[in-house]
Amino acid sequence: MRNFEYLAPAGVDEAIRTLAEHGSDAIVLAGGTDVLVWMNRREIAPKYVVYIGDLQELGQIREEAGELRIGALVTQAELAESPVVAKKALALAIAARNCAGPIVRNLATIGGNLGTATPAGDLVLACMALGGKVRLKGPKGERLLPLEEFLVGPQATVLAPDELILEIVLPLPSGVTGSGFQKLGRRKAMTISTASAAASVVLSADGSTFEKVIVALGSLGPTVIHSDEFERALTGKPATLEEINNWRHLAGGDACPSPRARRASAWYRCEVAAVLAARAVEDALAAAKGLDLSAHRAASKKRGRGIAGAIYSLTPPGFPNPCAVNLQMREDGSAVLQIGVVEIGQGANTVMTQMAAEALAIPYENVTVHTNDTGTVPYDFGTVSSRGTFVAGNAIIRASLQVKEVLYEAAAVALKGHPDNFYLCAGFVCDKYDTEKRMPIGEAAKFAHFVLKKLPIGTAFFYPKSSAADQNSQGEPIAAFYYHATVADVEVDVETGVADVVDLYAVVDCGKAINPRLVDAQVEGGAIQAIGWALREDAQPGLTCASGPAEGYNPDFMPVDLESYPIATSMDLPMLHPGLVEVFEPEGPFGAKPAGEISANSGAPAVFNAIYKAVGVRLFDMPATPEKILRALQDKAESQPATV
Amino acid sequence: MRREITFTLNGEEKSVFVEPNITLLQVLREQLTVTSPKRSCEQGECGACTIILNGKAVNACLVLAVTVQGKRVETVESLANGTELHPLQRAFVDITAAQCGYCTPGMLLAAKALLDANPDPSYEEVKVGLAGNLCRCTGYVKPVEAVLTAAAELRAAGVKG
Repeated sequence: MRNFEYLAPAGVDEAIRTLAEHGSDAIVLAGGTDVLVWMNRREIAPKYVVYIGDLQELGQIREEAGELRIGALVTQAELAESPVVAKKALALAIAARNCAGPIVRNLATIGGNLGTATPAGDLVLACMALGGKVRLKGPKGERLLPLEEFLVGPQATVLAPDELILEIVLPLPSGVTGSGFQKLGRRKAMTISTASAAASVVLSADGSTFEKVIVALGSLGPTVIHSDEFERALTGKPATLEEINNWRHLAGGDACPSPRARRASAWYRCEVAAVLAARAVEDALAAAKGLDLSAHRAASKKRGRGIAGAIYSLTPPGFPNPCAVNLQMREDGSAVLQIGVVEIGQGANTVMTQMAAEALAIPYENVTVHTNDTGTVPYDFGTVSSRGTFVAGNAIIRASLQVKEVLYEAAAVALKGHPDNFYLCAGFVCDKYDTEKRMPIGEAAKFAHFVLKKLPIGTAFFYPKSSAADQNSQGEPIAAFYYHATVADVEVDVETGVADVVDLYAVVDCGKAINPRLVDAQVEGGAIQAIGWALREDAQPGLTCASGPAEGYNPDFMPVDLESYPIATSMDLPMLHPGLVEVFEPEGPFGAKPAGEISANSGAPAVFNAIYKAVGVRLFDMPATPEKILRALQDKAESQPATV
Repeated sequence: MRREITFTLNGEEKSVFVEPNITLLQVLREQLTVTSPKRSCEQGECGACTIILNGKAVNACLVLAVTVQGKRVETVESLANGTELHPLQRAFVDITAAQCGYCTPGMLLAAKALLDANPDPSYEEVKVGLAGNLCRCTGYVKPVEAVLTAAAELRAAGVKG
């Protein structure tokens, strides 16, 4: 970010004087969750940054004179947790809980959400639905503006360069009232709204009639906007769910078709705006009357179960796959393994240590692994193709045979036995037929050094079968096959097209699991990644794709940030049930097979099958975004004659 | 213009000279060589740089260093007591809740802040508490389990997280 002059006024009036002095050369900094991002990206380069984040006078939430007054520096986290906000302005509390994630919420402020004025702003949306006004202060004094006057366009407000946002003021109407908030994003947290709606209602004293209805829509117009026609249609009508449903088609109003098409097409945003607007009013009605909407909401959810299996091969036929190791037994009974299979977090070092310890019958703690440094280890081409456990284990076993040969010879000389009769048992070299003849492995190693003058070292090489098929398609092209299966229970919301994986069972046949907990970790991580591919993650080949880029997509291969390439957050985690099927693999070390990449393989087809089972639409193009699902549902409905 | 700032880092007072456009993340990593907060997206989207600022978990990439004057900063180095791991750290090790480890310091601090505020979180509350820390390897199953395990242990020991 470009450098600037940092100014930290001690109070609101000093801040306003500072702003008046520097005008549009200055920017106000509070939580920084937008301003610092813009400066990091060099989208803005202000000469002066006026930091107000520590002005406590702007950080209060007060209920007085029939109003809820929320200081500009109140954070999203404070709004999310505030009992008075939850009680008096529920839509705002829910909006805050749906902003970004808990860490950003500790920084981001309501004043910032207003000042940034994005049409996708969740807090500003809730405030508009609650009839909010914003109090500004400049050199000439204060002014109180309805949000409708404050917001003038995308990222544009009437805030003058020398003005500061002091607070947001929410009226607290008496009587039977309630509010609600609905948001659709690309995932369940850390997401910008694709579409959103908030509503508040005032009912007649007997709760029978909508006296006042405010509905606000996000991500549809140039600013957060009112759903004027929907509001008018409901006012004076019976306060029932049926009535809301009767008029929801009016929700998008003049904003549809929307010219803005970020994060989803204009068509989709208008479709779901009506659904979300209706649900927000339903929520408001439910809050006012104490209704339970769970059965009503469940009606739009369809559930299906999908199953898929995958087969994976160690390496493609004819693909070179060499692995070399040095394995040395030291005179203190510990072993050193040098190997180039790379630890990248999957647990390779753990598993290789386990296998070396097993091969030499010594404790796990007595094995040291040197890896990851091409300057100190024999050649290997790395952690790819799920090869690590399989090739490393086989190479380690081969090297251990050479180590054992020397140790057995040492023991045979030292204990006057025959080398063929010795074996390794729990840290000792032992004679199979004479329990008296045994010596610690370290002693045998020392004897080899000093007496035999031989090194207890193994240098081995493993190259799995991977011959190209001959002219009759015969040969041994694959060293090992391994298998994976997923069962996915998916719930599809037929009104929004949102698919949600509720339960997921993922099982891998990895042969003998050298470390079951690490295999579980692979299965779990793979499953979540697979769900991401199935439902959310959309890397566009863009201009490098022969068929050309899809309209509106980024021309680079990858989306530009981690919001638009939405890998799962913890909130997107379904109930996950990992499992292992341990079928001994004769070609594998200790019966083991790979478990890495395959763990991500059958998840997406299982989810797609579950979507088909749930709602009868067969999609082939990953990811199955809500928009694709809703489009397919509507196409299906149109192609089928209505049954009476 | 460079100015001197003084703040508390893991209980120890630190003074550094910083330009205004330097983030807390840069100061920690480059000037104080505390590299546990990871530099990743620098947009507040990944949580790899999570630190605890005045008791709240925040993204160090979104905090200007000059604004930290007089405040308290904790990084993952504050968790262990000498060589004795914090129950959260031990649970992450025991349960294999870290794979590549890039998100782990941030996740531990988000979890620490969560447990300080709520010593007995539900499964759902832990999911919410970790929602700002992206992880590509683990699928979150084991981190969530580790936080619940550590929470139970801390409650049993009767100490705050």
